Amino acid sequence: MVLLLTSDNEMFSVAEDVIKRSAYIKNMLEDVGESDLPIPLPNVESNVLVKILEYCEHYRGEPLPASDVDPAEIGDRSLDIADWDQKYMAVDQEMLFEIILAANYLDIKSLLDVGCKTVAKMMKGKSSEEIRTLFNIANDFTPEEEAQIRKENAWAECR
Amino acid sequence: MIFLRLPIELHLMIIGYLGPIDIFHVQLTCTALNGLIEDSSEHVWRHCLRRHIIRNDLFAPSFAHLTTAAELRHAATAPLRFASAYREAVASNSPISKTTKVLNFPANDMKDTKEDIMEMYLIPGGRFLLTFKQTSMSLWDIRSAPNVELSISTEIGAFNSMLPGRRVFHYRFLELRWTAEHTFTVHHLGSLALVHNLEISMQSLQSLSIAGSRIIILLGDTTVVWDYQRNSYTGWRLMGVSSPSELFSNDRYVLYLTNEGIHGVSFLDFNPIAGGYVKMDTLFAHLESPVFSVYFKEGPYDLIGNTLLPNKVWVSDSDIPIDGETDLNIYIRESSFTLKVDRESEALPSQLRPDGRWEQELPGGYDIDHFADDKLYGTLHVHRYTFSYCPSTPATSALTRVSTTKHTMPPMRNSRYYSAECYAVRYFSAPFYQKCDGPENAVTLWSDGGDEVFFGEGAKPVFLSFVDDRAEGSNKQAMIVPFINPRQFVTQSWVVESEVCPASAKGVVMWEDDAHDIPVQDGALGVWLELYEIGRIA
Repeated sequence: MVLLLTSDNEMFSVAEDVIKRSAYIKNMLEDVGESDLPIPLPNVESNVLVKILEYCEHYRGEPLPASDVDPAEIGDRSLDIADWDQKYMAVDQEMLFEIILAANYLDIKSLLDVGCKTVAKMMKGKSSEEIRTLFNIANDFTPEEEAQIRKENAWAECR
Repeated sequence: MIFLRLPIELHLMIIGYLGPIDIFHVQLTCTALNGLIEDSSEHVWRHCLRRHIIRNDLFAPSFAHLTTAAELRHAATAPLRFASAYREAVASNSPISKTTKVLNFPANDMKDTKEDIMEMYLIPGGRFLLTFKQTSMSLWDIRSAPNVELSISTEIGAFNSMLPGRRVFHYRFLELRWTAEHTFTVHHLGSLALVHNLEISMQSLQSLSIAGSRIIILLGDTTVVWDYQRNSYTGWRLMGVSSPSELFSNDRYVLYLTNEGIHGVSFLDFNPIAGGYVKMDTLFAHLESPVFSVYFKEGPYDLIGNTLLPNKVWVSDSDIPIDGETDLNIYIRESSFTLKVDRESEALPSQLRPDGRWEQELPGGYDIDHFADDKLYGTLHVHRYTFSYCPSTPATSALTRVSTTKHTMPPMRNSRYYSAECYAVRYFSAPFYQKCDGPENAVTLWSDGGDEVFFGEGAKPVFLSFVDDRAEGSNKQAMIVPFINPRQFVTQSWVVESEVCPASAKGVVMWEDDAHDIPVQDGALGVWLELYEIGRIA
């Protein structure tokens, strides 16, 4: 078992083959070896870690992806997301971004990809105004600035 | 946590999944995201282009010379330019807009390159042009068009030859490899000769499929499977099914596409090839029926031909993986010169423009009695099927109709080409479909193909139509628009070969001109190649 200490000081005891999906922890375990000391995760809160562990638990036993494979190289650039992953990602935006940040920090490549895909899918096909509404972004362009961007991207207008 | 507070590398990762239009919309949301994309524009567009290359199976080295964000973006947005030019052509009832460059081949190669080119392929990506002559193959780099550079050239020996009373078909399997030094090398992987004593015309259907080291050749009604690594072969004649128009394969079966559906035949035992050739008339099994068949529910079709949508466009129709996970798209082209469609086409005059420019007019030599069952301007139905192969029980594989597209041609006149030949639209053929961008987008090239004497052997695509995946529902409409401006046919020139790469918004046409069909200057004939960049210049 591996002990993890979250930013809000909660201790988690996790099976090694579950948490090894995190390349960050896997490398740490390999470097440090067996230890009774908890691994501090100052960037991850307990409610997010619970969610992350749910993912690792679900994919327990599945082979780990090769760490040096760029998804763009192997053609995984479609926005297809597996059913289970879609349900898993059906959380509020705040949690979605927290999962992505934690996946990035813990270096869980597949989860990071699914998270980014989920966000990209939310944005896809939306107008600028719809994207602003989606992410609660304020339009801070002056009309001149906006006209300038449109001018520089004349290719996008001919549809 | 809000979106804008994510670190830049995660923003870029998310944007990496977006298409060009989405990226533009993100830029327009706020100064922060606009600045982010501007600051990383090379990275953003390199990713976008790479995604475009993978999705559309383009030949990646076509883009290896691009460096600036503007160049990368131009390449990544090519399908948008193509689609918009197409829509404009439909709306204005005019040829697709494009800029033209007459390709300028190296002076020394002038004579060699343009004479006797038998086949020409524009490799998807739009940078490399492959030409075949009787005894050689050349690959041209056209990125600095109009100037053309020779990338590699190799002798391949004669394609076909005659022995007394016999016809010999030579097959050579070559592989071109792109090296780290950005040059090509040619690898000869194997060669095979098929010797016939039968009367097989050159027009016999030849189709090819590659599965691992096995190359499957359909020649007339005979299937030959050649394993170029083991130098062995097997072959048969398949009885009891209508003649196949295409074939594909996996590691267990040769799969035939006919007007009834798909038939599978498992490989027979392989024999070693002695002396480098196979005698076709002595060695083949006759199969009474296929091992399994999957039928079109709505079939059999009255086909004009049919086309697979290959997953690997770069090797044309020769490498289609059927492993049970990849669905194969099949396009069935159905003759629509039936009574029902004739009635539909009677509505055409209402589409005429008010100024009467497209007034319907019978072409010269059009015999109304002789062609009473035809209409001057036809329509064609194209049914899109997916074939989901079931590896454990192939007979339960599914052929499912996904959509039907009705292609129509707007009535046109005032050009020699149309007015003289347009009744031949019933011979419409579509040499191939190409993925443009997106799973449903398909570009079809069409040709008149009516007058083989005038236009040379085989139909050359001079029209195109485009099915946009934004179109709703399973019944779609597509207009056929001229790819080549009919005005260009006013002179004595005609099309020898034409190719289009929608994914890079480029096309190449080889022209020949009667008026110059005499040796001029160092023996060069009146032949020239034009490169088109489809779409308006921004």
